[in-house]
Amino acid sequence: MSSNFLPVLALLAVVLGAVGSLYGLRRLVEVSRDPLATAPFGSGLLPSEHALSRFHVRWYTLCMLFLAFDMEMVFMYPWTRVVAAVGPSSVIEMFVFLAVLLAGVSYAHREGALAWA
Amino acid sequence: MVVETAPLWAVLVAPALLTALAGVGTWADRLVEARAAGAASRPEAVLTGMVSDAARLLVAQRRATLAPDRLMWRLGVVVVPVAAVLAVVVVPFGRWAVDDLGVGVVWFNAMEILTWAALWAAGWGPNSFWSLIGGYRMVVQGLAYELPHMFALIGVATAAGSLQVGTIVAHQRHLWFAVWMPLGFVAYLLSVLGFSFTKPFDQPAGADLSGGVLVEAAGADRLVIAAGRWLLLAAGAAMAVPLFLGGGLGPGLPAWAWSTLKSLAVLGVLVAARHRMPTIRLQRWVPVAWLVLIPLTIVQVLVAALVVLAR
Amino acid sequence: MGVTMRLVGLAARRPRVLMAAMPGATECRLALEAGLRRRGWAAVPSPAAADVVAACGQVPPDLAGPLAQVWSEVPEPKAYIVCADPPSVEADLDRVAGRLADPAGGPGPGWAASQPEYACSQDDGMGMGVHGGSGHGVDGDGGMEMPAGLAMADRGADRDGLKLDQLHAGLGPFLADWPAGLVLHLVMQGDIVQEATVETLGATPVGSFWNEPWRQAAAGGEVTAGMAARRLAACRLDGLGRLLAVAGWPDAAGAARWLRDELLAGLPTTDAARRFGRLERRVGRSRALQWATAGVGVIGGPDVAARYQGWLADIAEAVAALDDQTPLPGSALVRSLPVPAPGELLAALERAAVGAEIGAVRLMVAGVDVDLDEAVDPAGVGGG
Repeated sequence: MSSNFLPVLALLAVVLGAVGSLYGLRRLVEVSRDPLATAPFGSGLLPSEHALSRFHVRWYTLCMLFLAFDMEMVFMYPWTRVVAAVGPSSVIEMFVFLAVLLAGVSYAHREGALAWA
Repeated sequence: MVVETAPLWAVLVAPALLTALAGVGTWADRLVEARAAGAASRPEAVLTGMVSDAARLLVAQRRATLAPDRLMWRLGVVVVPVAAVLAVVVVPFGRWAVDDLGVGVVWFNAMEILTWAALWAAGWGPNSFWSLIGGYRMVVQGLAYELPHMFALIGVATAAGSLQVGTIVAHQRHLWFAVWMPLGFVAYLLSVLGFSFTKPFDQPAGADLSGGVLVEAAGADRLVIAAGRWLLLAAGAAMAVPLFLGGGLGPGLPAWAWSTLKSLAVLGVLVAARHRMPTIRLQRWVPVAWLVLIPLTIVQVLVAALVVLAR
Repeated sequence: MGVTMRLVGLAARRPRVLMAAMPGATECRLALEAGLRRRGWAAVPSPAAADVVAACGQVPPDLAGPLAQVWSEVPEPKAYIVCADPPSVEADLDRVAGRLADPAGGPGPGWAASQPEYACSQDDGMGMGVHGGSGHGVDGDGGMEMPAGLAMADRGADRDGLKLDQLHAGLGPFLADWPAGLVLHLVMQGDIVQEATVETLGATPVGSFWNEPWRQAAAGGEVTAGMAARRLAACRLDGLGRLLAVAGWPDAAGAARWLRDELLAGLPTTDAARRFGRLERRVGRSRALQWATAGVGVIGGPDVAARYQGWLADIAEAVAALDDQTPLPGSALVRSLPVPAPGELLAALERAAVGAEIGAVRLMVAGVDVDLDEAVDPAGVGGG
């Protein structure tokens, strides 16, 4: 089993170098050195306030639901390697747990967590 | 060994191959769209269009919107192609992978998740109404495709009893995983369209938001993020081959040829999907993803686990 | 500079055009769209993606400011054209390509007219220093923080009784696939519309291009039913193209617009029927389009899915009647005009937008035939 991350680091260096040289090339060939300072596109109108704001996330319950599953995934990746070794008990435990989570999904759906407009 | 870690100079070859695959995909995509609309559509004219676009974006004046969050913006743009290229570390080209990591499947998953955050940052950065909404749409989109994606990967890993891509390929010597795990395969392909924010899952960069996360991206930034989008799609198509289609295994031809042909075929399917339908609206898709796709992919993992127990 | 100029020349071979549709100039827009298609140039939805701004039609005074704003958002190298005369669009496009290849030549024909007045005309309380970058600053109300001279989002009550940040945004006037001259002022919380107000800019009710045969017949002109059918089919294809573009299906949108232009150019009936059949199969049977548009629409009216199915039925009927040589009766058929007066539609849009997601609002607008060239009911909305 390989866990030598040297090629990964080398590839990271290569791709960062490539993106960096693209920006460098732009610097050499761009038509104007002065950046265009502009309003964000407002289809012809100017903005009346900064867009960066506390965005009203109406689907936040979806995030909660996702987090529950995501924690479960952390266990599931290593679980895939031991299914054969541990045997039926590993499968039963994992899928009972998943069933509980799915029950949670159906409850959340009934409460309207999957719709937001 | 079906897959081996290549010599270090492969780190120069892999990005080039991925870029070539992405380039072919872009070209085919533009060709199909031009044909449908009756526009100038000779193959070489489409190529001229691509070269012309790249030239425009290179020479264009830099552009800064009012009071942007520069760090987030630049980070979001750059991470898209970087994550795409890093994801193919574990994707074998024939017999050779840049690095056949023991945790290859998790690595691919992690790189793909980076783009989720990157797109949000790219949407947040320009301080623009349209791109802000686009960035948040990417967050919802991720909430819908990530879990089916992970369950598809876990189904494959369970069937092979390993997270290493080489071992996964070796397990498909007799039967491709796509054949007996079709649900996982379909869920995987859908999630590839999702994480590369490609039609029909392009609401984060949707036409109804004048381009969403791309609305303020000009010049080199636009080139990097648009190329990154295609690199992601190509990386997803290339990874489908070792995960579901037996990697470089196949009769007659050398392994690298099989890898190339299968990657092109998957990319062709994804590009065709782009043109078959309009954008899928997230408000419609989220319930389907959670109530249909996730349970189905879980059943798929269960099937894989039962097969492993029966072996 | 040699490499730069070569790249600029390469870029100028396939310009990316931001179209600014002006009211009363449907023909100019159609000519421009057809011109772009012939050359393989693409229309783009935002200034950052564009290098050409093309005004389709004469620029009315109250749209000069917004046009200048959009132009100021396009990075160099860029060029500008006004296409006010459909037959000369080809020449206009040649000229603009020349301008792009030679950035020293200035912005482009017709630009000087609207530029200088802009600085004063846009100052309606939003006097932000766009060109200076850091801004001049505006008189804030009560010591509020104003980074870069622009206010931060303020809070307002939402439908659940919470106080949350609100953003003010305008859809239009220069939005891709959007009715010319229409502005929808929105108050947004997240991606949901809280309030919507319609404004019309530059509208001069000269009568819709799509209703022309009926107007001519009513004025005693000699118009055959076939000519009217041709115009009706093109009108519906135009609406369909816009809806498909907003729905994110550029292939189908392009196909609809292509057929529209060919019909207006006199495509024979058999070809029209064959090509429409292909489009109808593709669009009419698309479950994904049905799924995206069902349940979206103005209150009390048909939803967008029903609207485009109705359009397809109209086109099928019209295509079958292209060769009808009977004269169009003078006044009896006003009921069946392709495009109605927009007054009520605008009011209905205002109501329906509230509480909808912004993408749904775009679909709603694309799903109704708003054409401000028809007279707006003076008692209705508009001008506000």
